[in-house]
Amino acid sequence: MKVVPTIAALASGQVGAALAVIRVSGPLAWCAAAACLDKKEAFSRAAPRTVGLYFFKAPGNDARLDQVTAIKYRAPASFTGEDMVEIFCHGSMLIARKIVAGLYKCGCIPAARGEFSRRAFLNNKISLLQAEAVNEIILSKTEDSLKNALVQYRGGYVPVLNRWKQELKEILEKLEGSIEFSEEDDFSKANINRLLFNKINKLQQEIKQEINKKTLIHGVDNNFAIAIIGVPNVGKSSLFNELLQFERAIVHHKAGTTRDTISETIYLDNIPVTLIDTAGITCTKNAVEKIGIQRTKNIIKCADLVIMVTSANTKTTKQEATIIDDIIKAGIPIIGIINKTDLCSPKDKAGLFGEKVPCFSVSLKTKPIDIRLFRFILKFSKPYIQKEFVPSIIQNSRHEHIARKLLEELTGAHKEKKREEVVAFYIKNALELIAEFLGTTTSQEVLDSIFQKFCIGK
Amino acid sequence: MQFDVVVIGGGHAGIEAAWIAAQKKLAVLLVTNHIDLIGQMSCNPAIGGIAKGNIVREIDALGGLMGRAIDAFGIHFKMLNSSKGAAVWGNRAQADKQRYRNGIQKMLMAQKRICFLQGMVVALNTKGESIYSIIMDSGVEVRAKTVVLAMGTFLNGLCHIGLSSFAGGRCGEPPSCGLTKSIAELGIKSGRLKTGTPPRIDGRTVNFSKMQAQEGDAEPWPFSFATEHKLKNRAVCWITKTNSTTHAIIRDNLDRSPLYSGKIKSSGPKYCPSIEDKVIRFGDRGGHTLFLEPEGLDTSEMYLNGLSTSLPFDVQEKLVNSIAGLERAKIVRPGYAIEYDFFQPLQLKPTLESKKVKNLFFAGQINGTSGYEEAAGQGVLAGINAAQNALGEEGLMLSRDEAYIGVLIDDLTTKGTEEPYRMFTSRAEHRLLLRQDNCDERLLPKAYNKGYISRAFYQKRRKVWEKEKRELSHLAKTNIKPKAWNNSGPGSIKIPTRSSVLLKRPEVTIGRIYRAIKRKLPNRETCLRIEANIKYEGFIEIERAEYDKLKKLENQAIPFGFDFNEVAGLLNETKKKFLANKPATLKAALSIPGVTPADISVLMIHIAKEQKFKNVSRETVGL
Repeated sequence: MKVVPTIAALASGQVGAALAVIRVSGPLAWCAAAACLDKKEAFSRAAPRTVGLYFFKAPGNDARLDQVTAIKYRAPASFTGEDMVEIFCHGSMLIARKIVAGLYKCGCIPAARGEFSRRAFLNNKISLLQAEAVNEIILSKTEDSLKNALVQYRGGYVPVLNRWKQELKEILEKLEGSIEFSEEDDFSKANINRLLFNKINKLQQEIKQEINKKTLIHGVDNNFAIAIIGVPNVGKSSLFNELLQFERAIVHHKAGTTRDTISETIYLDNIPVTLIDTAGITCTKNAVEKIGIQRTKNIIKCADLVIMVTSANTKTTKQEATIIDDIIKAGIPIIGIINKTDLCSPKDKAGLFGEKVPCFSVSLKTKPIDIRLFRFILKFSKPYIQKEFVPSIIQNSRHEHIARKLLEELTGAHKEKKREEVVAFYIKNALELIAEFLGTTTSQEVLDSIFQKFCIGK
Repeated sequence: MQFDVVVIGGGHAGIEAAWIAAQKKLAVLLVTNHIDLIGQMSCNPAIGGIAKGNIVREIDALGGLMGRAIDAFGIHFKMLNSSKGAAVWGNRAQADKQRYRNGIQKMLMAQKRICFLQGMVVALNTKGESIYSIIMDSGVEVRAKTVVLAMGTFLNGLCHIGLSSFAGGRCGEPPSCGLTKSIAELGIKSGRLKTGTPPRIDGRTVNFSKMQAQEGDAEPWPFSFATEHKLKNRAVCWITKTNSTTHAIIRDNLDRSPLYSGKIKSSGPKYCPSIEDKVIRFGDRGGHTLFLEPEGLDTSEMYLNGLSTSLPFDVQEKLVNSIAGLERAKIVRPGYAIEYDFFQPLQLKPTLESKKVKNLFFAGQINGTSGYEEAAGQGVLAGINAAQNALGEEGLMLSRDEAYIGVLIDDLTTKGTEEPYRMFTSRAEHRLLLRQDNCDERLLPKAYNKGYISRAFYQKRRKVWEKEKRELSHLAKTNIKPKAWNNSGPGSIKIPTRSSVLLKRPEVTIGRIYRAIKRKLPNRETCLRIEANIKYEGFIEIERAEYDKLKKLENQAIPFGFDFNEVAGLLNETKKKFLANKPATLKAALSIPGVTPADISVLMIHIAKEQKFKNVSRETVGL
């Protein structure tokens, strides 16, 4: 029997932090760690799951590298289900590297991507769906996607999948019964078929709903986009910097300073939002400026909210009115900011936005950090960014791919009316897809692709 | 006396084995307890049915007898499932039992190479690893190069009617005793199974006006690819139902049932249950359907299909008389249950040859199957392989994607059975391919290449296949214009579309296509083949791709010395099974009873993991 190798890797982030965590897993985990610690016996005697304070010494070198704490885990009561050690050192990358290198000298080998989770899966500590959820938890950017991943980690969606499986099995049993015992069947055929097709239809709708929900959550993950637009030199970049709280964009009194679009992420109420500064819209002959304006128009099309900036000291142009009309017609939410109130009263400009577009007056130059400006923007963005939490079975592209294939099979089944053997063919395929979804039947390739997405040390 | 092939048993397995072996001009001996009863239909008077009809066609394509015999002696033909797609059609015919039996005997006796011997075989002798001879109860020893065992339910047969039991291979015939012991001494394990049969009714005492008639098809389909005469329906079957009175009688008398009093302990056929089982397991269900089937044209005896029972005679009478139309009916022969010896078919190779004893073949009910067709299918294959062995030629094995017989034998020899095994279409992964219309194309070339089909007949069938191919290629290149198509039936087209593409649509019939392309419609058989070919094409491809994937996986070897104990994620129970069986491939692992595909997944991943540890270049990242 070949011995399972012991793996070691840095489990915490690579950027400097107060602490770093190194994970070791495999039959040699305890030995390897003991070989690298100063109080070897104390470590060997220590009870699993208790914390001890040690000095880490690289093998063959008496110098103490760093003061660390270490915890042992005894198989199978560990994350991977194997013997494990977790070492906490100071958050220097240099120290972390040296510690891991020391462990390699003691018989450990580098962990492959996602190998800790993979071992946890292979040792039956977590299901495939849970392993995926671990990844989703780490990758989730919003509270909603985190909440969803946590539900999945706790196995919350497995009952739904099991119910689908059960229903499909029952449908298949009915179909096979009707094929094999058509003579002996005592019920009216048409009745059975109607019932079956209603059931198939219901499942179709349910899966469709899950796929749609996924799209909603996906929208959140892709960040809500706010585009700042307006004619040149009204203070768009000033607003952009104001919201960012630092001088990201160049602000100049000369019109047409911003020629390209710039985007940054800001947090509104803990929700990440992409803020985009755009080139001012005008009739220009300058080729570069023209491209910038085209970009602005494209940005408007895919923005979730548009902030139209205008200045109080200029007359309303026809162009500004057209821009607003076009945006309203396109159904894109829009709010207005009247800038430069230090130079002129905003009253004259209020007419530009009319009653449909809420607007706010401000002087970005003279009165920076106006908390009311934030509140105003938040008030009008909130309905769009804070979507209600919709839990979805579908967490990643693998799930979505399977769900869509599942839907295809059910659609195929539903279209067939007479050939029960063909309906059964589709239902059998659907059942296989569910097993694939649950990870109960899976291939090496699927596993590789799942765990490849993980980072090292997980 | 010395023979190339000795067949023991004159039932549906034995007659096919003897017949097919004789095609190779070998000296064949058929040994049976009673020569007059060769070809007897012990239970129902019907041949075929769903999945079973396909087996009959496969037997025929391999050169067997059953298809020709039922075409000749059938009296009521019906294609079952004809309202569904062609893949699950199943041809079924009622036979005139007596004429069928006599007909079979006549066919066998016309074959000069087959000798007959009446008597009971009591022992088998081996020499080295191979079978050597059989010993008759008279003490006579018959030398045999190969032996096919096909004793049906006769080995230590015990019949039960109510709480009384009596020895018998079938009711009224003595059992075969001693042979099981002799086989067991060769190291082959036996087990015990049970089956049953319903009471036979005197047709003259039935009130048919209270029953619904079931007519045969207006234009019956033949079973045999050689049949050219037009089949005729000469009898009618009748449908009736059990009712709450019937069920009450059964419940009230369960203490007198050998099944429920604990007298019979062996397992019976789950899918051909006794009426006692039906009532206990499925309840009233508004009555269970019964079919009253004629046993022949020259007899008034009728078979009460669906009322298999081993209750005492007086209860059987009450039962029968509680049923609509049978109020005054008289029982001619009571129903009974029978227990018999079988040999777990896991002990066989895919050629049906024993793994323990060379040149010893097992076929039919002794392998734990149920049904004439299942028995006959095994008979043909065992017969061919016995003949091949006798000649020193390579045997014939059928795979799961080639024939229902392949599915049957694969299931038996890799999974074994704990109850009488009945074939279903759902047992075949390739159901859409293993249709009854294409049996000849699937199997005839195989049998021909091994010399079991005459050249003349093979050429004749080739012409049919070629015609079919011509028509298929014509449809594949002939476009139909919207003008010629739209308004001729459901579904319309916007641009000229190929006929073969249009025919794929479920609602489109072949007749409508040929009208649209103004071409002479081929005969009914060819039409069916063309339509099924085109309509299932895409599905079959997917089915095959899935199967190939599975096959690849199945053939994956489990490394020698692989430690199943190390595989976390398996139930201890499953680990034990693996440790006991030490499967060499994933397929072998999956064939162990109780092992699930999920277990195989886990196993597969662990094997891959081990291999990975051996030779993976690890990604080293910055550390």
